[in-house]
Amino acid sequence: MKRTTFTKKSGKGAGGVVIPGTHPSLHNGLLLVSSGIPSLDVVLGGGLPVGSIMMVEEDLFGRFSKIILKYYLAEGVMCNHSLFVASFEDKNEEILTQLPKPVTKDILTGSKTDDMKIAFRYRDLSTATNSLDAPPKYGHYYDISRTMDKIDYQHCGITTLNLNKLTTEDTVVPVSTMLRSTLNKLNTIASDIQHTAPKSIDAKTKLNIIRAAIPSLGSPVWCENTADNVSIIARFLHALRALARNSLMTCVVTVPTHLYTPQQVNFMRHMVDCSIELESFTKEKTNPVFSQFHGLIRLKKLPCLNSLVPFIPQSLDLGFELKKTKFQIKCLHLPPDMSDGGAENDGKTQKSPCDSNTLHRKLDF
Amino acid sequence: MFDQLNNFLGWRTTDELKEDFILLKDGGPSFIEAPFLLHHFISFFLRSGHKVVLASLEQTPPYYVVSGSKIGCNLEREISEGNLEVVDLLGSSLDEYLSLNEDKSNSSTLKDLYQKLQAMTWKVLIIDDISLLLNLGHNENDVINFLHYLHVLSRKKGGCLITLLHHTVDCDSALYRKCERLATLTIEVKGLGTGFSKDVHGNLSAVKRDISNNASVQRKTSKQFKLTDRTLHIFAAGTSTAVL
Repeated sequence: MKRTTFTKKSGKGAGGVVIPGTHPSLHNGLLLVSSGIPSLDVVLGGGLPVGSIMMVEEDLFGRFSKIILKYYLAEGVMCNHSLFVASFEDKNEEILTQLPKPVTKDILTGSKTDDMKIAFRYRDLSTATNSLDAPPKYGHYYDISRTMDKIDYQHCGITTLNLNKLTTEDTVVPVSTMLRSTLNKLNTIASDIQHTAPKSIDAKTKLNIIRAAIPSLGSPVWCENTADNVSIIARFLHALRALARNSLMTCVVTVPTHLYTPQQVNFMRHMVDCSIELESFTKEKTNPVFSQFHGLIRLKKLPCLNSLVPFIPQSLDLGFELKKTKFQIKCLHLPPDMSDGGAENDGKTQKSPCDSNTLHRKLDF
Repeated sequence: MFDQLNNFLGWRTTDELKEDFILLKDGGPSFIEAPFLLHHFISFFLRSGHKVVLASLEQTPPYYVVSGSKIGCNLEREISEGNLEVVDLLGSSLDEYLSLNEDKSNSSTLKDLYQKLQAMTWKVLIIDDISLLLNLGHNENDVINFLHYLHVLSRKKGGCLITLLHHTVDCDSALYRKCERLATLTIEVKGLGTGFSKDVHGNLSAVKRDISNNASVQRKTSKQFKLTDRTLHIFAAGTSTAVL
């Protein structure tokens, strides 16, 4: 039987084909690719499984979902994967010019702490870090303030589909046609020999992964948010799932789910394998408890390919913070309670009623 | 096959099983939902030597093969021996989607599928899952008719029909009510009301309806469960190993 979700055989080169940029999962036999954000990889159990579709439910202005897509594509460039982007940008090459530049690892590894005189037994132990913070084995960090040079991504097989070219000034192209042409294009890329999951493991064939990214699917640019369009999008996602399972492909789709009813969002979630919801904070309305976070991440669906139970991360309450060199996902926790010393000495402290001073004030005979 | 689940449902071999239509449903969105029960039933019926046909819309065949191997059932061997037949609807949906000019999924696709299933010989038919047909744009009446025809067909063959209802199907919808009415055994998987927990994945409850005896209903008490990679642990509410 054709093995679609490609599992890498363990063992040193004993019949196993190594696909660049992928690594086997520690929890089940799946092949994973890094999503471009190392802490997100930890949350998903190592990375995105090959053959799955991930839906990023956009935050209100789509700011962070765009950034997540950029990281995803930049990781594809670093791993030499084939990229595919279908969007309404007139100059699709622009999204490529905006990819963040990878950070070299020397900057990140901190120097070992100098000689400890008292706590010398702890010298060799690693510092207490959250597993989400640990330096990534397979991913890369990117500097969001600098963009990737053209030399870096020129060697990659990049295909862009400009959906604006389908629409003319007079006619309104229905969303089903646009979705169908996207899937057609993707199908032609996937039928290339290097992207098909092989029936027999042959050491000679060079295999590669397609990273497909579809920004803002279901936004007003594509279609109105009616129930019919939801079922059209659901059919597209179903066919996309069939394509992804039968070839070496991962797909990230961002959807502005705040435009749809919860029931419709549930339909769309049913069609994808993994779904995370972003909620970003605006400066005025932020709860002071979340002062160190830029937003929250809610896991709505976890990938469960090839196993009975999905990998469930340590903590389900997650927030994210976008730093210059890292998109850091952290467990939600309250900031340390640094209460001011001056405020307490205002004389409002509770004194016991038996105290001599209080007796004079409070008890009135 | 999950032994604890068989004990919970009260049967040991398929000879004690007189069910006609087994309905598996989700009580609400959770990380762990009803599909794991499908693997149990596939291996349970195969182990007893019945012929099984699996019409899969939700996942591709390797998913079932790998999941089956985790619970100790070699599905590849069963397929090569002819005991299990998988109708890979997901795989063919891509070609259908690309070749269609219009987007209307008409009832003829369901009719073709019914005729295809009618031509096959089977004792147990498993559909994964029927609510997906609604999501894909089929008319609700068409889906209900399709289900009804399949039910009649399975009764003619003296076998069993198993299907899954995802939580996206509205409780008030006609399909939901029809499934509830036809089902002789309904197993509901529901997450905990207080949110997701790693030690107790949810509640499992079963309702048996005796069709011959004119609507006598037997309700099993709801128990809690935890699903690990290879087994299913079922325990009475509040007696999880994490708590005791």
